[in-house]
Amino acid sequence: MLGANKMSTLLETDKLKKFFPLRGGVFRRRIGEVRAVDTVSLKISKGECFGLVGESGCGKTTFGKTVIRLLKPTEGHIYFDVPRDIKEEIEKLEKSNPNSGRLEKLRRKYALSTFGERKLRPIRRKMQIVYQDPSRSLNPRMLVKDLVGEPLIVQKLAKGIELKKRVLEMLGKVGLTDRHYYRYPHEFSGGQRQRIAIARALAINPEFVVLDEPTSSVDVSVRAQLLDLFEDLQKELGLTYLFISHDLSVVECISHRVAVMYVGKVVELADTEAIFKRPVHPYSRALISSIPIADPTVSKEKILLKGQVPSPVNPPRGCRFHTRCDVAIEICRKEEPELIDIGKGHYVACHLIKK
Amino acid sequence: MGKILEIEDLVLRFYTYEGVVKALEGINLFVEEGETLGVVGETGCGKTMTGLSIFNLIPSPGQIEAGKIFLQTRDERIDLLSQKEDVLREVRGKSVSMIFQEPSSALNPVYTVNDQVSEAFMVHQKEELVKNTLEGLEKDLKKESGKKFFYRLEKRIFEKMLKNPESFSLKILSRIPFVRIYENRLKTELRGAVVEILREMEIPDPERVADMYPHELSGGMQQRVVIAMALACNPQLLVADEPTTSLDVTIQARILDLIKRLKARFKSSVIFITHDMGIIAEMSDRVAVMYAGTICEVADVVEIFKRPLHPYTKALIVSIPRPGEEYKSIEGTVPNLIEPPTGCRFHTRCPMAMEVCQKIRPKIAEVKKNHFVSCHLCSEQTK
Repeated sequence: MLGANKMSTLLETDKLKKFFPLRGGVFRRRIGEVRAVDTVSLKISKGECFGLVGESGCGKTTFGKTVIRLLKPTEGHIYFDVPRDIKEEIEKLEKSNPNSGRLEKLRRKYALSTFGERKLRPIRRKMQIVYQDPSRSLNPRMLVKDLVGEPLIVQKLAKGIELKKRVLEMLGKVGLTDRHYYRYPHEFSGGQRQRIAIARALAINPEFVVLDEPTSSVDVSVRAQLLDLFEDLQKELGLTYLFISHDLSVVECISHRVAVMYVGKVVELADTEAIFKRPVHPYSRALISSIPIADPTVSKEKILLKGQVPSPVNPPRGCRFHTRCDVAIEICRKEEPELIDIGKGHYVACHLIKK
Repeated sequence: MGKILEIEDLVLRFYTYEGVVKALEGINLFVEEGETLGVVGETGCGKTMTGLSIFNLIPSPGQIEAGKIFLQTRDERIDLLSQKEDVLREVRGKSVSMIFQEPSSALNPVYTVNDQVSEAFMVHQKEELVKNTLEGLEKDLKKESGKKFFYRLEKRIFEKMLKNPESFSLKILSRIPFVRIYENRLKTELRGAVVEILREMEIPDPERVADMYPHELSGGMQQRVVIAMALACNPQLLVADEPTTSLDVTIQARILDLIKRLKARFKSSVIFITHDMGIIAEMSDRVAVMYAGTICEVADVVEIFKRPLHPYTKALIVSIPRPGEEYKSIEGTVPNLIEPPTGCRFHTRCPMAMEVCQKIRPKIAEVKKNHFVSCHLCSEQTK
């Protein structure tokens, strides 16, 4: 299993926050904010598939979009492919002298969160996203050749015959053929459309791909085909994935490490096997116990959560899960638990674990 | 146990501009009393259409060409497809009812929860409600002395309503302002029934929820309201069309649990339509596997998962991602139903296809006890 420490880190977020303002009243004043992602610190290693699971509205997609800077983070920093010695220097400075000019300078040079649009453009070549619903993410008026070729033109990577060659090569990689070159997205089935979206994302040879629920809009049989494709492409091109999904069985199959999110926070982070076999946080336990197993002879005890997911506008004080937690104690209502290591790279944010 | 529903050789066609879509081709199914039949298959294989044809609610270009659907109601066995619209309206909601896939689009956004759930009561259980109202009136008549005159008038109106609900004078009365205040008593009664059924759906604070509009509720709550509407009149057969597809796993687990318990309490049969094999394994007693408008295999749930016979069922079960086990995807894509493959519809993707598969459509046959398969391979082996 891939651990966070053994491999070199490709992407790191440091106390990342993304709040969306809520406006109201006569002058559209700011009356509150949706705390979609609230203080998330994660490390994603090179070549791994990092799964991110959680219920809808917990901030998975916002996190995915923020790390590739489609959204500007409210606070916190994103480091992408920073050399190790510089990262160490930043960490040292953060601890000893958080207001120094040197730290400011380093951040401006290496932290994605501070970049402007122009500076981001070369970085965009290294990170791409595949969206949930290909029938909406592909422009219905563009031919496949233009859809897949567009990123190459924007990034000025290929032109003319070179472009065509590259597009055909990409189509071949995702299991489409030359016949599909001059076609419109509506002529394809859902699974094939998702393949076009994948080809489009991979056309410029990215290192890091955010897969935002790529299999939720397709059928079971096609889902298996797509998962195969993701695994093959990862091996072939050495990709790093951030796999966002609410379909836990898919995440279990494809991911090396998994983080569970709940109302904008990571509550548990561990190797896939550890999290599915021995979940520790009460929320992950409930979440994993509620996956239906495709085997009628196995019966398992389900933990049914009471109540509803709290609104990210007014998240509960203390531990965000305490309103629905069976084992909540006094401290859970007051203090927010921190993500602590309980061994073997298994991180949990729960007060009960500490004791 | 008797069969509550029998579908025989159902054929459904959609007449579109691009051609005739052969959506269902000879569906044979039955549902026994008190059981849950899971219907599973890929998108566009006709699961939902099978469900809708039980209600004779096929959307516009679709037409049922042949076949019979028998429903065993409490008194008689009727063929649903040959009935007139007013008979069907009696059946829908009372004997069979449906839970739709997307709760946010199954609910009307401009009516409150109370209005929508009470509709089912008003249509099917008006008599009972009026009787209850009359009982309440009698009590009031005995208690108070002041307003007796009005109470007697009200009583006369309700008695008339009980005798002849369609009467002309009632229709006029209900349109005169102030006079129609008499309806309030019935509405209070109705609201009581609505709150009661919402409480049974484990909705917290049903009194308040009854006055809410659908957009004020979360997805899980909306689905509970839809289930409340479906179960309002205690139907014998419930068709649940992917009731949890748009919900999260934790909420899904609670809704499935709710449906299971309600089924046991109301003693109804359920047809559970879904594409998720996990849910099928959990919910159903028997499973029907559908492919491209045909039924491949019908058997007991353990039998389907442990000893599948049809090649498609086998492929489907192998394609479920399970950790630690290899999963294999099914080659090829679902055929276009305007020009479906000749013979067995699965032969284009079947690893074991023979020559006969391309020519003759296999008939569904009982290979083992209670295990029905439509495949040339299986029928040959048993010969």
